[in-house]
Parts: sequence; C-alpha cells; structure tokens
Amino acid sequence: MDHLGAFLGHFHPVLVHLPIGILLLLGALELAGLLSRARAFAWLPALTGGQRTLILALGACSSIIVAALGWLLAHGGDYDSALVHRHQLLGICAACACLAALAVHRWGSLYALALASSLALVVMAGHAGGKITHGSDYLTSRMPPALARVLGIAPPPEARKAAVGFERAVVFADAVGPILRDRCASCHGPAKGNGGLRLDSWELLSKGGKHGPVIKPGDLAASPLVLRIDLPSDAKEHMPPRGKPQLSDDELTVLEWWVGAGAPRDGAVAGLDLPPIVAGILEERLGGEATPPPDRAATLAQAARVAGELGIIVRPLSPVGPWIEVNARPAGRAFGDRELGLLAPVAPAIRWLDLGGTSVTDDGLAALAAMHGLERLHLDQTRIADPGLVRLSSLRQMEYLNLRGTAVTDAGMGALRALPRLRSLYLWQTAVTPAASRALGEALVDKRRIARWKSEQAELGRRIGAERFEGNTGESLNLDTKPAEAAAAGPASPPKVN
Amino acid sequence: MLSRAGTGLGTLGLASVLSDAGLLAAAPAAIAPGRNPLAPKSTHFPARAKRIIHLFMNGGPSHVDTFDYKPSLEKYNGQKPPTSATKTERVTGSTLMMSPFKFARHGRCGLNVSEIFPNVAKCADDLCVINSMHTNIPNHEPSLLMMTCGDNQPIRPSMGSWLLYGLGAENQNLPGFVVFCPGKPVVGPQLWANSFLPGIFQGAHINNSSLDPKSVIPHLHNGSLTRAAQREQLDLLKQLNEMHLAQRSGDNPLEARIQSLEMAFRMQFEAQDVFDLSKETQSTRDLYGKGQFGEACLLSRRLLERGVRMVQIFTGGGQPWDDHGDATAHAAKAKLVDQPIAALLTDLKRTGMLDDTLVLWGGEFGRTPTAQGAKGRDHHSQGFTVWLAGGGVKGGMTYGATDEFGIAAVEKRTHVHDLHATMLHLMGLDHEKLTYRYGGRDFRLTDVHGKVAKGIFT
Repeated sequence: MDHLGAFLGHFHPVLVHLPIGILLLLGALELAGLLSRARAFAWLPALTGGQRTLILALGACSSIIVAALGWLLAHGGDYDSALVHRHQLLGICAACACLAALAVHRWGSLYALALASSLALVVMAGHAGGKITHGSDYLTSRMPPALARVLGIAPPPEARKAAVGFERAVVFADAVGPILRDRCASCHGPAKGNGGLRLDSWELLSKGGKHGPVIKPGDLAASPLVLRIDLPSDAKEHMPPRGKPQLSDDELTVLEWWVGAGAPRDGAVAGLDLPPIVAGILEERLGGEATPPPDRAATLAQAARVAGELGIIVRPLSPVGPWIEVNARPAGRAFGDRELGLLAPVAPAIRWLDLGGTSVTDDGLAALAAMHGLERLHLDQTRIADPGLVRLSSLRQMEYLNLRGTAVTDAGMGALRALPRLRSLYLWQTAVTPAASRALGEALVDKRRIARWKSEQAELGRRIGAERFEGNTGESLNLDTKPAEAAAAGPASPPKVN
Repeated sequence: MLSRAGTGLGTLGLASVLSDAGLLAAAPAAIAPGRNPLAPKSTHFPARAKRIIHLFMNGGPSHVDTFDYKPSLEKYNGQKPPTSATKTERVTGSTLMMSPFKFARHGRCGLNVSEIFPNVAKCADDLCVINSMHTNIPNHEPSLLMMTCGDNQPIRPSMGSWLLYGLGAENQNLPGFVVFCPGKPVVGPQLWANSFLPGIFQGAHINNSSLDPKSVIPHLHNGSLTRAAQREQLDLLKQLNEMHLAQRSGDNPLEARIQSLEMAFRMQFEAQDVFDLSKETQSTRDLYGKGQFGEACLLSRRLLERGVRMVQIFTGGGQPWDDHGDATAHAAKAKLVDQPIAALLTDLKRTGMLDDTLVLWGGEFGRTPTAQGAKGRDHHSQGFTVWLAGGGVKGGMTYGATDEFGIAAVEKRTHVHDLHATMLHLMGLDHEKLTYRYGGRDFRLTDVHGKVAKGIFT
C-alpha cells in the first residue's frame, strides 16, 4: 500500500497543473463574459450556464484528486514540514473553494466571490508548492540586483567562492561546502532533507541521516557519501540520482581528498599539505589573487619592442586574447639572464617559452616567477641544474617541460612535484634515473581517477561488444554466419514472463 | 654579425605582422619590398603542431600489404569479390589476391602491421592510422598533385608553400620548406611549387643522392670575397634591384629572386652547419642507419629543430612504390624506409619535439586488393591508408575503415582534402580562411572541400 501510495503520489507534480489551468481559464472566460456587456467588447463570447457547470465540475474534481495525490506524496517524502503544511492547507482550501463555487454557481454575486477566492488560493498554493520543489527563493534567486533593490528584497546570499581566492580559502566554507551546496543540497538541504540528511552545513553533515553517519573521517571505504557518488551512474544507489546534475571528476576528487584528510572544517586550504592534483583543482576553482588578464594591444606593442631589441620571435598564440609565445632559440647563446629579465613587461602574458640552447642560468630563472600563465617551457641544452628547478615551483599551469641535455639530476625531481598540471617531461641526455622519473609520475598522477576511468571503459566495452570496441580490423566480418543459426537461437528461448 | 643581420630582418617583419595579427585572410596580394614575407605570423587559433614532416611513399604503397589488414583476402584468395557492389576502377584485375606478407598485432593498442615494417611496428602506440583515405583518380600525376597541392590539375601551390604563406618561418637563415628527393619524382618540381603564391614560399629541393654539406646546395661558398665585402656588394645590388622592382610592381618572379639572393647569403652561415651530419653522435647516426632516406630523415630532424616549417622526403626519384608486377617487391622498398622512420619517431620523441611536430606517412594512393597479372597490384584510389603521428593527434588508434576486402573506404571516409583540412587545423590554420586572391578569385589548399577529422585530435 505504501508503494502504491508513493507511486501515485509522484503524479502530483504533473497533474497539479490541470486544475490550475482549468480555473485560470474559467476566470478569463468569466471576465470576457463581463466585458462583452459593454458595447465596445460585444464581440467577446459569454459562457452559457451549461459550459460553466461543466468547466467548474472539471476544475473541482481535478483539484480534489490532485489534493489527495499531494497528501500521498507528502506522506512518503522527506520535505520541510512547515513548507509542506502551508502548501497542504492552501491546497485543500483551494479545492474547497472550488467545490463551493460549483455549489453556488447559479447565484451570481456569491459565485463571483467563491471563484475569486478559489483563484487566489490556487495561486498561493502553487507558489507554496514551488518553494518546496525549487527552494524558498526560487523566484528571486536570479533576480537582477537592481530590481531586487526596487522591490525591497534582500539579494540572495552570494557564495563566497568568487571572492576569497585560494590563499584565504577556508576548508569547508570555501572548498567543500560549495560543492555540496551545488550538487546535493537541493534534496539534502533546508527545503527537502531526503533521508533525514542535510548537507548544507558541516554540523548537519556530521550528524548524518536516518541511516547513520555519511562519512567516517579518514576512511573513504566507510563513508557512504563518497562511495555512493563514486558508483556507476546507473547503479540504484548512485548519488546524485540519475537525471540530476552530477559531480564532475574534479569535484569528486576534492570530496575524496577532504574525507580522506579527516573532513576538517576550519583552517586555511593553503595551510594544508595538499596533493598536487587537489591543489591544482582548488586553485582553479577558487582562483588566485585575482589578476586580470593582460591587455592584448599593450602586450603586443611591448612584445614587438622586446623582440626587436633581443632578436627573438614573439608571436600571439591566437588572433584574440593577450597570450603570446616567446621563442628565444634563434638568439642562441647571446640570450642570457639579462635578456630574460627584459621580458618582464610581457611576463604575465607568456604561455609558451622556448629558452632552448640559450645561456640562461639557474639564478636567471627567478624571472619566470612572474609568468603565472606559463604552459610550455623549453630549457633543453642549457646550463640549468637542480637549483633552477626549484624556481619553477610557482608555475602551477605548466604542462610541458623540456629538460633534455641539462645538468639536472634525481635530486631536482622533487621540486617538480609542485607542478600539478605537468603532463610531459623530457629528460633525455640528463643524469635522471628512470626510477626517479617514475616516482615523479606516480606522485603527479591521480590514480583513483584512472581506476575510475578504466572501470568505465571496461563497462562501456562490455556493453558495446568487444569486437566493435577494439576497432574495425575486418576480422569481425564473417560471411559464413548461417542465417539458420541465428533463427534457431531466436525462438528457442522465449522470454519468461513473471 | 651575420646571425644579427638575419634576426634583424625577422623582427622588422614581426612589427608589421603584429600590427595586423588576425587579418591573415586579408593578406596582401603583393608583398611590399622591405617587408619580410617569412616573418612568423599569428595562427587562426592556438596551434597543436608547429611543423610538419611528410614521409612521402611516392608511387603508391599497397594499403592491404602495409597497415590495412584484410583476413578476407586470404579466404577469398584467387576468387572474384563475392559482393558485386565493389569494383576496382582499373580494369586490370578481377580476382582478389592475399597479401604475401604476414600481419601481427603490435603495441598496447594492438595495431595490425605488416611484417615488412618491423621497426615502425614498434612505434604502433604513436601512430594514428587513417584507413579510410580516398582520392579522385588512380593515376600518378593527378594523385601526386592532389596529395601535395590539393588539386588534380597542376598550377596550384603546394601544402608547404601554403604553410609558409600562412605561418611564416621561424628561422630566417634557412628555407622554410625543404624537399628531399634523390633525383626527380614523376611530375617533378610542380609538387613543391609556390605556383601563384609569392616565390619565396617555394620548396627548396635538396638532391639527397649525395649529401656533402659543401655541395648539397650549390654555390654556397664564396672563395674570393670576405663576408663583409659580400654584404656590401649585396646591399648595393639589393638597392639596384629594388629600384628595378619599383618600376615593375607586382612582378612575382623578380621579387622571389631578390629575396632568394638575400636568403642565399644568410644560408651560407647556417646551411653548412645544418647539413653536416658529422655533428651528430655515432649512436644517433646508427639509429637512423645508412642510406639516402635515413640521412634525409636525420637531416630533417636537424632542419625542423632549427625552425624549418615543413620537410617532405620522397622515397626516391621516379615512383619507387609502383609495384605492378610483383607485390613482394614492396619488401625491398619498406626495408629502405622502415628503420629511418622508426628512428625519426624515436628521436623526435626523446627530444620532446614529437609533441608539436606532425608526421605524415603515405603515398598518393593505394593499390588494388585484386591481382594485376600473376602477383602484382595496380593503382587504386577508392580506399587507401596514411598515418599521422605527433603534433596533437592521438597515438595508437585507427580512424575509419575500408570494406572487408580493402576496396573502398566505407567508414569515416577521408578524402585528401579532408586530410589537408585536418593538418592545417592542427597547425592552427582554418582551411577556409587561408585564402589567396589570384586570377579574380580566392584560392584555398582545399579548394571548396575539406572536413576536419576532429576524431583524431588529442
């Protein structure tokens, strides 16, 4: 019975629009009928008694059915009880008013009163229902601030996310909380609290739901919060449920790190010993000390001047945007630390920098600290050694680093662990051992994400069918498959009906 | 001093290029004297590759004997194709012929490679094999032109020329587009011609049948004048030439000649160095092996690392892969190129250049899966194979497919125009925007065709 109730209850949000539509249409038709008495609006139609009775009867019946379905839904779900109570009361009143209007529809002024009140009640009940489903501020949350000021509505509390920046971010309030708020709190928040669980504050989260705690700090395997998010998206227990906005890989990585690190609430993110992957994600999400992108025109003008002076190639990376590529290789050994220092005016705009074959030294690399946007760096065939690598550790965007033919050794590899986005590292003709480069690779790789990706691939492969998945080699085509075989396999095992 | 002169010219060009960065499509028809047409230019969007090396298997290697394994050819060896819809367009053969070579799976991707490419097979995980290539005409001349210049007819600029026009060169002391061919291929210099583009964008042909750095480019060395005296002479000559040019504006060959004189002077400094293979270690030379193709591959790496935009290496003069009489003759040709190609890939990878160098391997078309005579194969344009590696393409994948006998490309069909569009895209150029106005209309490398095969991008 409970199951049937829950099943029927879920029709409430669909069917609820029926009485709303019927009653609003009736209101509009009655208004038209009133207006049609005036000469100017004589072309408007007026309802006949029979039509009115029919429409009212439909409205009343549907509102009673919908109210009953609503009661079933409220009975089975975990909704904010105060909001639900208000919605229930208004809904039942609306249904009653509609019945009353049907009862008195032959008495003009009484009928007008009853219809007007049922319309008002329908609007109010609808609004209360909207608050339950979409949150109390569903009408105002996206309101332009100017309009909100005029109407005297307090602007929605802005997430701190954009404002703080990585350096000042607090663990739960800025790094973890916003993820839960975006992805989970619509069902596990102030409005709904499904499963008795709310995830909109650290305290409520630690309290857990009606099935117990959702995290065990420091133990991922005993924390349903991350386990259930990590399940394949079509698993029954997977969260968020199918069709709801899902967590991105980055968000899940942050959440897993947080639970693994003991689910701290306070303290600065920057003060913790973050794995490079998590540091990279959080820096991106929280933003650094907001540095506006360099100005394209000014950068290119500066770049042309510097290039002319130094005999190097400077090229914008694309026709829009300020980012540039600097290639000092043509200048060769004539390009040294002093010349590198002269790039300072355009430093923030440099994405690709080729210092291969130049005479820059470890000390000179201090100038790279200002190149926050650096993604590709060639230092091959220079005199760079381990001390120089330490100077690269602030370049968080670095993806490609070429150290071929330099004096770097195993000892220098540790400094590169600070580069969360590093994907390609070239060490040919150096003293670095394979073991050291492998260890660096291990430290920079998000193993859980790879494992997750592999299991998804395997699942995908299983579903598509192995032969198609491995690529078309021509082997899968077999002309000899006798149609008789396929036919025999078909009807031999009719599907069982339970 | 000389290198300063070179870079001075380069930076002169840079300022003018930066001022109209992004206006590539509206590039001027005639290049004003004093402005360097080879200065590096902005791309249409961020580039994944900065340079191209085309390993050109001219003559047309058979796809079903190299990188497109077809077990059905074994099963139906000597029979007519059981499905009547597919026919080869040349009438020479009608019965299927299995490959005389064995295939095996290689790399973690399990790519099927013929036994005649044992070294390239070791690089399987770096290759992006396009099995669904097709072109228009099963004859050498039109298909060579299609592959190099994007049209079956002559008088279109080659891909290397288009790249120099669109991107400029990163080294002002070397030609930006270098072609290695021992002797002359069929069609000849039209395959690397600038055609109606300014003459400075023409490919520089190097005859690699003998690679003495002193003589590989003739007349590089001036025995009777010091460099300073040469410079003075050339400056005077340049002034006179420019006065001459001023009276004949828009004279393309004249401009080209003036610019190539300048480049010849700058080249004597750097070209002797780049062509001197003795500067490579013995282990590197052993990696590439001996022979014309291997030396050309090693030289290509040396050129590319000095900022040359595109290198094209022909397997040989004439049409070496054109084995009409005996398909097993492919083994000898593969032996010439297999080790050098694998060495090139290895070398590019260890130096970190493979990340932004695009490697293209392939012929102008494929060969018929049906027999010609007793054991040969004829020209075939409906389906063939090329592969790409490096610069922004996924390694260890096959893209598209031919039917089960390797006759026609059926899945993700990729015309040569599509290949060109894709390669330009990887170089940061929109093939629809890279245009040049000539004879009253805008021309493109891809004519009015070309779909970018985004499925192969990393």
